[in-house]
Amino acid sequence: MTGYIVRRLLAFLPTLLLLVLAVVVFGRVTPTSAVDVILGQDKVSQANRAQLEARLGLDKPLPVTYVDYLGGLLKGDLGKSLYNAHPVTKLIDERIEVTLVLTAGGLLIGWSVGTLLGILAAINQNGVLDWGLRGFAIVGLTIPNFALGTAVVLLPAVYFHHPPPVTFVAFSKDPAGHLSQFILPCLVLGVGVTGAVTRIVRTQMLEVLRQDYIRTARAKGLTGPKVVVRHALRNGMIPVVVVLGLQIATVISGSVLIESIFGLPGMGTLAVSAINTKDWPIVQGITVVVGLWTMLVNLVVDISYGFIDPRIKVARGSSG
Amino acid sequence: MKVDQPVRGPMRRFGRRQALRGGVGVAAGTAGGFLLACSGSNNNKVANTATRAAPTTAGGTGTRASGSPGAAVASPTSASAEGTPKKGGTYIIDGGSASTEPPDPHTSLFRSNTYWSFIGDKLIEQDPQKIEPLRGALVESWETPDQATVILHPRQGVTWHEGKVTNGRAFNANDVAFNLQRIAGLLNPDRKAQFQRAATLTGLSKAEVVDDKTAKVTLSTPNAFFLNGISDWRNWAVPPELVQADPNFSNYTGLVGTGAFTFDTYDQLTGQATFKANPKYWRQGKPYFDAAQILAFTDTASNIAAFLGGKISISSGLGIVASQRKTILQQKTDTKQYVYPGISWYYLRFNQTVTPLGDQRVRQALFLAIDYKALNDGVIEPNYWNYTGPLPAGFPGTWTSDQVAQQPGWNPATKRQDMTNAKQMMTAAGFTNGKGVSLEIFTLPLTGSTGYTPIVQDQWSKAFPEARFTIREAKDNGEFATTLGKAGYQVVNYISSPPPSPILEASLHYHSGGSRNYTSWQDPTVDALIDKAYTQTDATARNQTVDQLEQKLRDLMWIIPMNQQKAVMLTLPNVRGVTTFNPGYGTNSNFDAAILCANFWFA
Repeated sequence: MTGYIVRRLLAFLPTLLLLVLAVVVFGRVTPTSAVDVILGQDKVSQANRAQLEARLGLDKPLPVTYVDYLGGLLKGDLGKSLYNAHPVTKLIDERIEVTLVLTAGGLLIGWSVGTLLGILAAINQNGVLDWGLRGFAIVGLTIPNFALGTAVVLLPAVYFHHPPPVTFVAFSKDPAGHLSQFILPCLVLGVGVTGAVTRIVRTQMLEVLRQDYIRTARAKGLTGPKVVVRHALRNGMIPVVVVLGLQIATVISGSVLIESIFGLPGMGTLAVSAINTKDWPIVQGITVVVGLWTMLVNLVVDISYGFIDPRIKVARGSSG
Repeated sequence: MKVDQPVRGPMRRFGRRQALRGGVGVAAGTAGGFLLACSGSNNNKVANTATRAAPTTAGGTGTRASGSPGAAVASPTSASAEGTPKKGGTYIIDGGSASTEPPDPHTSLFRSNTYWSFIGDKLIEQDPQKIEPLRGALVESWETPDQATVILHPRQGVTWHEGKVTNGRAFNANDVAFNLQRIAGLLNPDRKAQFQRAATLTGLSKAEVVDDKTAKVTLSTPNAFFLNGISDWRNWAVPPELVQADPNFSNYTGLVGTGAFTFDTYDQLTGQATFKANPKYWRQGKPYFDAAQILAFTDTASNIAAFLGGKISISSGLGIVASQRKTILQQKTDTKQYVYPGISWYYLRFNQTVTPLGDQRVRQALFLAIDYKALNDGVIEPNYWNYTGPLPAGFPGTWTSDQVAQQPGWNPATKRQDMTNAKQMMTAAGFTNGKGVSLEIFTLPLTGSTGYTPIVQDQWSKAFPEARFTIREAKDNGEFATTLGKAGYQVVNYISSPPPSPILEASLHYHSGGSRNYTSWQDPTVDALIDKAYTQTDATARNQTVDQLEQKLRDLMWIIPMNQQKAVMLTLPNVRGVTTFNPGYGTNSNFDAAILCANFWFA
């Protein structure tokens, strides 16, 4: 297992190099830069423009920028904001907790509720509960989380003049208030995940529940819940876990809008602000962090296969 | 010679960034508007309730704004009309934002003004009820002994905030000279391009201290509008010690001004801030509030929700977009609405280097072919806009909105005749029914399918059926700005929020050297009239020049003025003492509410 993890970590390198190349190139090929934003649309002399580009370090050739960025990355330096020269790592560090809590909460809700609902739907196949849960799953999958979030914020305000928390409360000021402000956004973010997980778990469970060993277990006199939890669920979870790994990126992108709607100052709102002002070092930094994060989560997911299904571990061991 | 009249100086206009942001805001509000449309079934009931709940302010002169269900429009009030001001309370507005842009008021693009409007003052300011004459603020009086010299006298008894880098020291002549030089970029020649308001002080070659009570400004060229430039709403006074101690303006709570409030706390994650009343504020007895707070909303829906929930005392930004305004007025019927003349004007600007826009007949035909009432009523709503001529309506010497409305082209009563004339002009120019005309209208991001542009496209297409009109939407604000700067457009639809003088605005857009005259329109008469106005210290004579200029611009039609959007302030019912800028020397932001709030109090 250790060798496998090391090999996977090494495999990160080319991916990371490509990711950095992509973000650096992307920052250069976009038609406008922070210089355009700062100078506005007045007629400005080329000399003034060049002066500002040099001040912001935007005049360096692309290969130099790439190598500089990689060098900085090795030292944990993601560059500085073009506007206030604050280190990007510091800006991200200040906001990463919000995004982590939000995405983790959304995923946790989605995975746990979705798994439960998927099982319930499978063991009640074609029953009223199954139809109801499948309907819920479809709604959860199709309703955009920004629309749901907007509704959750607006409707109580419109009809009861009592909006949910929409301004950020720091943990240091009010720990309970800080944590409670994540409940609604996590629920909103979790709805889509719930829908997806419900459908996948149901499908997998239906397939597993038809297997001979399940019939054998039942023939041995095991109760329904024991059959489901001990025998069916574990074997049905592998494809589910694969999908869960892929959902990470989706949830993180979804959290950008949810952060905005609920006034949570996470990496998403920072990214949106930076995109508006063309503060590319911040955009690049966030992209790299999210990319690394996604790769790591997927590594964890891959490792977890072995715990869920020991046969996978054996197969890897024999092939390796 | 004592001078208490306006002044000049080609300068950057302000407010465009708000407009750029506003475009995004409109789009962001779409989701909220979509959802709220679901609650439209009880609109009539709510509207009736709102009528009963119309506030009676300013001696009970509250009026209804037609076309806006539930819109109770209050006139600006005087303190006496609402009783004696009371001390106390925390005043809360929206409008904060987390950004990496430092809050340096002299280089900031858009973000610092709301913060500075609580803690800062300007050297000279406009009277909120009329743009001119100017009135003293931190500079109490001034003289102009000759066209190249301005003498400024700092107000005595004004102190910087206590407990920070200035530690409550007296405001003096050095502060005046320092700020003028810094605003003009003279203290930072290596990055002068970043000093956004340098053009407001055109001609400034030197500002120096004569004695503690006197600063002397030397102009390299005559500028009768120099004092107006100083009064630009973004020209906040900062102490030299602050710039020295924190040149990057990285510490918000360390910001020091002379204003009604002192900076207390700042949340760098959200941009939210709190302020305490300045007990030594030089406008005695003010502010009435004990404290003030800026909340930050990155989403329109949550901003609306907070207002409906009574968590914001006042909002200017939410009142601008019709759908947001309607939602609030329908759902919170005791909301007070203050509608007042705005200064931002929307226009269509031609590029004369593109065939056939160099032909005056074609430009006039395109001008006459637009039904301005239908256009503006459709986009903004009736009663929330004014007509404007080539120079902002309501400014000293310019045509009033009513005067503009009576003129061919703008006058809805002559529209049929205008259309006939438009077709004849286009035919005379060699483009019968518009055949051979192919024009692209360039517009802000997210406005290509909503707002003015598609309506203009439709109206022109109907007037000239054989012409081809297309729309190009900028991909982002940066592309929009760059395209303008490089004159890479044929017709552009945009907005201008002018500096506090019609001639300052004229010099930006119409003078051959104007920084907004992207395609270098040139007309010797226009240049001469603008230059002449710069040297005219007599208001009557200057106003005559402005009138001549406006007539000339009306004939040339380099720019089609479409409207002036009114400013709208929404307040909770317990907010008293609300005054507005009239004629609207404000912006489409909470800047108005913040700067005026020293006069407000809670019932």
